Amino acid sequence: MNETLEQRLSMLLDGETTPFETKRLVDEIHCNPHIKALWLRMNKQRAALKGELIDPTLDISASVMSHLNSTPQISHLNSKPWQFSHFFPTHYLKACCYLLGFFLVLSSPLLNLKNFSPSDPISKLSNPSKTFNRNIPLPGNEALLVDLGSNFNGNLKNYRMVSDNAIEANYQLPDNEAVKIKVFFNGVPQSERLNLIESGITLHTKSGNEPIVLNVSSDQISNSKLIKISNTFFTK
Amino acid sequence: MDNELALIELVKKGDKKAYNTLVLKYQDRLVYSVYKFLKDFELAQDIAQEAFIKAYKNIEKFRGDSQFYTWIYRIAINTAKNVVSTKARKSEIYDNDTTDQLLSESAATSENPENILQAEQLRSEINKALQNLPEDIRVTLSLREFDGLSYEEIAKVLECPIGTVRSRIHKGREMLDQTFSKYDMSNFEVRKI
Repeated sequence: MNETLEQRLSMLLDGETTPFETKRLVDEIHCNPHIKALWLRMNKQRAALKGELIDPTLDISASVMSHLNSTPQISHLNSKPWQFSHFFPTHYLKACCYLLGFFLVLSSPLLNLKNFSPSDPISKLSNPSKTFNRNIPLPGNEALLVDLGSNFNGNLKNYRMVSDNAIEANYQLPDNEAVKIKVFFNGVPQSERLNLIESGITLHTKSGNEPIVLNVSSDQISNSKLIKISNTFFTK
Repeated sequence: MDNELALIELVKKGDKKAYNTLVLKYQDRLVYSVYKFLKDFELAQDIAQEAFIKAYKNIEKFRGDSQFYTWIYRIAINTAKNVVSTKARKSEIYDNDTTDQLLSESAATSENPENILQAEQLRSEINKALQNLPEDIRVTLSLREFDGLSYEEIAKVLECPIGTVRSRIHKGREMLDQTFSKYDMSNFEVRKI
């Protein structure tokens, strides 16, 4: 591929560049006034061809960018008050999870809890020291939900208790696809579980020494991707 | 069809340069679309500007189900409708039902480009230059610009390698750019209603 910069700009205009090339060209356009002028002209030429050019000297980009530069970065623009992770950054939540897990491991002999059985195939679920538990305060479970999402690069968007024994959590994948995970604690009657499960993949597993049931579903991603996500709970 | 998801992804990560690239790409088209509704060039610019700002602030909501332009067009037209509604309320001339009528009438009467602007001359020059392009280049460029085919689709239609499509389109644009650059912009007079 020996395209000239102009040819690559032409490809950018047509949306035919790779993400890597797109990033490079964006940088070039804004570092080099000549390239920026060429990009502007190419777009005006297209507008003229399609009869959509009103004023060849029109350029509102400076005022748009000036306005945007006076506002915070996009990640802050979209802060949602209900999203726990905005108040507590992910690294902080992770640290809390590890500390909680560490504390549980240390305290398990004192509390006479059964150890995680290494022979149990489902014991590979994430970090065995992290335990979903209906008896711990909800933020504790939320931290675990965040950590659960990190297995498959899912960003926890929100969650709610759908019954006394079940949490429903919604995640967003990097491609903006939504994934829903329902976590059922031990003892949820099957009838109640069936009522709450509409579709997706259901796993019987454990979190710490607590048996739990996970239901992973999405109406936006393929079954194969759903299976891959489910597998991440076993491979970590 | 355009695949701008890479640019959008950069914007979602906070890359304002990527967004500026999109603004540069769509500003003329968006101002033109709003102008068709409002028949007010300066207001059309203000609304397009506001639409770009709103779109940036809500870029997380853009899921890529449609083209970016379709999405921002909707934002701009809704903003334009709000402006018309506000005007109508203020003037107490129009009731709610007449707002859409007002917009559609406005759009209908502006269908004739000569009623909108005097940019016809430049467009005519560009189109003349397009007609004068070598046939293979003209056909390839037309399939891209007017039929919206992707490079791969054009390669299939013309039964040629995709690299040939790339270079023909680039060559065509380069030749049109000569006409465009030569054109004395100072002669271009925009009629502002």
